[in-house]
Amino acid sequence: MGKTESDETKNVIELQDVVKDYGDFRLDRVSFSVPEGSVCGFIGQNGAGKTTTINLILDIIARDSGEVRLFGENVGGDKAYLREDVGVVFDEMGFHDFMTGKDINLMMKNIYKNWDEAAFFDYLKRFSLPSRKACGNFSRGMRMKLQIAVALSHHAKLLVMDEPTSGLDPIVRNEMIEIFRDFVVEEDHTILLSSHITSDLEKIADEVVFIDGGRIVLQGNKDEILEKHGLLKCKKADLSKVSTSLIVGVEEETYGATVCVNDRKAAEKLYPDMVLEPAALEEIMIYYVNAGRAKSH
Amino acid sequence: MKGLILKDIMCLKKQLMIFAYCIVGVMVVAAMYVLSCRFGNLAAVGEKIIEGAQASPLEVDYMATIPPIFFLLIPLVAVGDMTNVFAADGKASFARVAGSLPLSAPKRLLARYLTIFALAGIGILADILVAGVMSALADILTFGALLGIIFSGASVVAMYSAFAILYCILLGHGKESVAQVLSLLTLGALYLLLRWEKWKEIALSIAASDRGETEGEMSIERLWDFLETLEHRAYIPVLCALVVICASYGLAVLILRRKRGVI
Repeated sequence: MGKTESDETKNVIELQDVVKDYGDFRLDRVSFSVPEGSVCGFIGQNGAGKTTTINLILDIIARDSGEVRLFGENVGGDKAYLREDVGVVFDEMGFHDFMTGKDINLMMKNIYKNWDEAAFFDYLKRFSLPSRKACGNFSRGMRMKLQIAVALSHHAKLLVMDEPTSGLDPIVRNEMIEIFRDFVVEEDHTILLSSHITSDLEKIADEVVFIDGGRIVLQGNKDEILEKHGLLKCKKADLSKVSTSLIVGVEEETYGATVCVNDRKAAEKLYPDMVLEPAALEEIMIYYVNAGRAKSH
Repeated sequence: MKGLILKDIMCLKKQLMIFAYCIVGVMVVAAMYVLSCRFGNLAAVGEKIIEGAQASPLEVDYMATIPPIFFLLIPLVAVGDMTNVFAADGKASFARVAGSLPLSAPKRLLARYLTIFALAGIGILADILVAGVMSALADILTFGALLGIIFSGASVVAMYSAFAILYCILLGHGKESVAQVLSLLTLGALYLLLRWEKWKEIALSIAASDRGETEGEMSIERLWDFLETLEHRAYIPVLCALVVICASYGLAVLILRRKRGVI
C-alpha cells in the first residue's frame, strides 16, 4: 500500500543549499531539514555556523543564495507572519535590563496574535521568576527561563533555541530539558536546539545535525548515528589493517590508537580481535572536527 | 507594532520625565510672559510704543524673540535625545529579538518613526495649547503667528530626527552620537543650500559695506528676515519636513533590506 500525503513526514524547517558569505566565514551550501514533532539537535563547536544558520532560518540576516523554508513556506520578503508560530530562545537574553515580566507581557501581547497572558504569568510562577523585578537583576539561569516563558506563551509550534543551556549549572540545564520534553509531548511541536553541550542533546534529541566550519558534516537520526559509530581500540601497528572507508578519525595514544568508525557492525565483523566501544556524540563530534581540520591542512 | 512602540516609550522613560518638566517649565515661562505683557516690563514697552515713544531695539528684540525660543523647547525635548532608543536597543542586543518577532523590518522601523513623531506631536499640541492661552491673554503676537513659529520649529526638529534615524540605521549601534552630529550638519547644509542666493546676497552686501559702498546694518537685518517668513509661511518648512521624513523612511527601509540587525 502506498503512502498517503498525510502519512508523509512534514518538515517544519528546510534548508536547501544555503550560502552566507561574511568574507572571513562562509556558510557553505547548508542543507538539512527538521521533521515535525521531532527534537533536532544542532551540534557544532563555537564558530561553526550554528548562530548564522539560526539567524537565516528566522530571516534575521539575509542569505546570499539557497532556500530556507519554515512550515513549508519560503522565508524572506513579507513572510514575517511565519514567526507567529515560532518561539525563540537566544544565548543572550535580548530584553532591556530595566524591563520587568509585566513590561515584557505588555510588549508581547501587543505583538503576538496568540499571546496568552495567563500562560505567561503561569510560566513565570512555575520558573520562580518575579514579575515585578527588572530582568537586568536576574541570574543567567533566570534570564534563560524568562526567554523560555516568552517563547512558550504564544502557543508556538516550533521552538528555535541557540545555545540555551550554555553557561548554566547542571541542575538548571536538567530543569530546562524537562521543560523542552513537556513542550514536545504534543505531536505537532518541534524543537531545533543548537548546542555544543552534546550530553544535553543525547538526552532529548531525536535528530542530529552536525555542522563544522560552515558545512554540514553529519546528519540523521541520533540513535542511528550512535549505533553506527564506534571507537575501535587497537595497537598502532594494527592501524593499517583498518579499512580507510570505515575511518572517521584516528587518535594515537602512547601504547595504541583509537579509531572512530562509521560502521560499527562492519568493524565488529572485520576486526573481531579488536575492542569496539560505543561512541558518545561528543566523541563523534571531536573526531569529525579533527578529521575535517586534517583534510583542510 | 504597538508592542514595539510601548517598548520604545519604556526606553524613553527618563526622557519623558524631562519632557513633562519642560512642558511645566514652558507653561510657567508663558504665564510670566503673559503677566509681564499685562502688568510688567513688556507692558511698559508696549505702552511706550503706543505712546509713540521710542522703545530701544533691544527691548523690541526681547519681545519678538522670547516666545519662539521657549516654544521650540517642547518639541526639541520631545525628540531631542531619541537616539537613546537606538543606544538602549544596542546595549540590550534587542535587534535579534526584534528580528525574531512576527513583524517585518519596515514595520519595526515604522514603529520607531511613530514613537518619535508621536512624541513630537504631543509637544506640538502642548505648544498650541500654550500659544492659544498666550495669544488670548497677551496681545503682542497673534495666534496665527505663534502657530507659524511652532510649526516651523517643530518641522526643523522633525527633519533633524528623520536624519538622525536614517544615520542610526546606516551607521549601526554604538554610533548614535555620530548620527546626531551628522544630522545637524545635514540640516545646516540643507538650510545653506536652500537659502544659497540669500547668503550670497548678504555676503556681497557685507563686502560692499566693508568697501563703504552700502550700509552694513541692512545686510545683517536680512539674516533674520527668515523668521518673519516662518511666521507667515510655516507650510514651507512643514512640507520640507514631510518630504524629509518620507525620504528618510524610504531610504532607511532600503538600507534595512540589505543590512539587518539594527532595528
